[in-house]
Amino acid sequence: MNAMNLAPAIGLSLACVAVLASILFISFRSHNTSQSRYLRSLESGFGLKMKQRSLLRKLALAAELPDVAPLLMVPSLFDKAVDRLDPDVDELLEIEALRNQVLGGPSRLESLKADRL
Amino acid sequence: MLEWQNRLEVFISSSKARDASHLGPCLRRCHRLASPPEQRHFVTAMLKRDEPHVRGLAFILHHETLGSQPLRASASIAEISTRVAQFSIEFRSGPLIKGLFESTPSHFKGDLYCLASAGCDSQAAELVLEELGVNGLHADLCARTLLSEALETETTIGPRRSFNALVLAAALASPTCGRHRELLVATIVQLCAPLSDEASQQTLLRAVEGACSSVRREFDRLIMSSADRRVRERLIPMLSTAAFRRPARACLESCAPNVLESACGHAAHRLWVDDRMSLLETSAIALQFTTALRTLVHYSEKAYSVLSTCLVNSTLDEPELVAALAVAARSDSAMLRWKSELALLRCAPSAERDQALAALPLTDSCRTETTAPRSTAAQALERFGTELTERPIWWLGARARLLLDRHPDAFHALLRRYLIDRTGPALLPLLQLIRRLRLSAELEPELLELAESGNPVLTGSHRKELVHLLASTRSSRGAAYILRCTVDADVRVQEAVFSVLAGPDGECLGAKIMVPDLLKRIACTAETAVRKAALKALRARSRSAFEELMDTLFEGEWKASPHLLLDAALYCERPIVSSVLRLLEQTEDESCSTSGAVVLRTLQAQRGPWVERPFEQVAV
Repeated sequence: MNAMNLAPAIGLSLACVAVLASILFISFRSHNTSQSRYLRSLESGFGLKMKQRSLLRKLALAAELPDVAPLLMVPSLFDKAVDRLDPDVDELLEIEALRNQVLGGPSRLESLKADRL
Repeated sequence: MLEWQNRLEVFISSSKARDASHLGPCLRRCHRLASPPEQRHFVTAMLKRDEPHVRGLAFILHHETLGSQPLRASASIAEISTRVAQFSIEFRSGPLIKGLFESTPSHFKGDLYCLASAGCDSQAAELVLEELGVNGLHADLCARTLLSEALETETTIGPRRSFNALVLAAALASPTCGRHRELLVATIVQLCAPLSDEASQQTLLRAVEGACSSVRREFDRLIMSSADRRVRERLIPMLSTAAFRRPARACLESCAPNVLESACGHAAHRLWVDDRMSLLETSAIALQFTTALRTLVHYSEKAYSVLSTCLVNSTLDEPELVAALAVAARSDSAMLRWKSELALLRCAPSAERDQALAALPLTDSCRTETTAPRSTAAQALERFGTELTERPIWWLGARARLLLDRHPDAFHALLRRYLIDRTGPALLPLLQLIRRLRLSAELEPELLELAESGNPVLTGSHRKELVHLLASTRSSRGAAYILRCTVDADVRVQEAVFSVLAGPDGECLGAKIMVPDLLKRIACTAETAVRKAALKALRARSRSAFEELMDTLFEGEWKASPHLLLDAALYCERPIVSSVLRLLEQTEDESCSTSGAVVLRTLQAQRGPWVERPFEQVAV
């Protein structure tokens, strides 16, 4: 059989693969877009400012989490992330404010202060 | 908890505004990453939401945390009770379970029916009754859960127990309920429990009486066959329930060893409640027992005890009774031998009785020597004297009662002789025996002589027994001896003195030898065991002095004597739990914490659901 006879079949297969890949790519992108939209709306739901959002992402990165949602829900994860980030004093105060705003309740810093007093 | 709810609110409202499909995975991830206490808070907050898919997810997440398989329709009672305990009370709400049926996969139905059967609201009950009514796939599971609940709440009073009774009552209205044996057993368990809520029990009783004939027949069959251990164990309490009386009595009458063993092992002491014993005594149980004795059927000791009482009080003619007792007195059981011999002695004198008694050996020790010549009374008494140090006190008591019945004067003389002569190891069991037989009044002169002799052989244990013996004689010489014992070097003797003062015998002694002030002082200074006895005596003799002491302790002096407050708390009728808790919080003394925990448990037990209920109701 001549290679020329196979060309249309190969072309058709390649076209199919390209179409499938593009569909997958588009759905993956749209999923990611919708997920990031959800996360953004979650951040705005907690009334976070830009600086706080970036601090939160920094914490998520330090805790090796794919996104910030668990930090917004689970206090122990938030505290673990702070431990792994090992922030300086200024940052620590910002983190405390963020923790109070998101998670509420007595923070670890406050309980430490209370213990020292 | 509020913070968890607020955070969840933001998560859910964000998903509504954007893409709802992200909420589930996001919540799952949060739950997976949280610590176990946080997971509990998280699930509780999710259950409080109105969204069915969030509640469904909460149930599934909790189930996944347990790491167990969904409950099958054929799950056993053990599996069911374990599963119920794994779900908190929040999961047992009817509206929640109804929603979960729609929002969770169908293989969780077993768990949901199990939770509904352990629930305490009408919607949960409705679900269970519907399943039982149509005899659905999970009907047996519901019946088993109701039985598990009945067994678990048997010793408590409260809404859980009452609700269980009401669901059972409603289920009995359906003619199909006879198919579920566990449902019938649960009804029996509920009605035969020692403590019960009057209203729900009455409803259940009416439901049993008003049940259709097929259900009544099933009840009769279940009780008569007694194949279920839980039914066998409740045969005696069932004698008080009109609907169960006939089959229960018939089953006991059959005298089957395994039936009597279970029934008597569980509730023989409850035969004396509600005139149940007379029901048995007038039944054919005595005849059956007589036949069983002749065919050498073996029963447990408890069963023998009950059966011999039934035989003695039965409607049998005197000659028949004597013949049966003569056979019983040669039984292998020590209990039956003793009871039969005693009954024979108490029968009206007749040739048959005397012949039966003559054929009996006089002591247990010569029971096996069937070929040996029969011992005389003097030999029997002498042998009893030598056995004083060898046998347990209950055996000595039983044997002594027989000897006392047969030869009262000789036995008294024997005891007198031993009290005067003996100074060896037999003296202590002898004193204990006299106390057990309540013979101190007859032997008072010898006891006083022994007490006042100053014999160095008399140890603290001897003096303690003497205090108890002389307290019951209520003579002034005895009171004087007791007064001297308040300063005895042995704390056991001191404790005995104050125990006597707290008891009914202290009524006449208290006024003579102990003023409340002195008791109060002793209560505040003495050793633990003596202090407890003195506090009890103080409360018994002078309630006002005891209350005065409690006032002083409450005013703050307890810090100096926390042990005193803990001991006094046991006899105090005021609401004192909060004071004990405060004391335990503030104290650093380890022994104080340990005894404080014991005191708290005792106070809790003293104020249990059995308080202010007649004795018959709390006999278990």
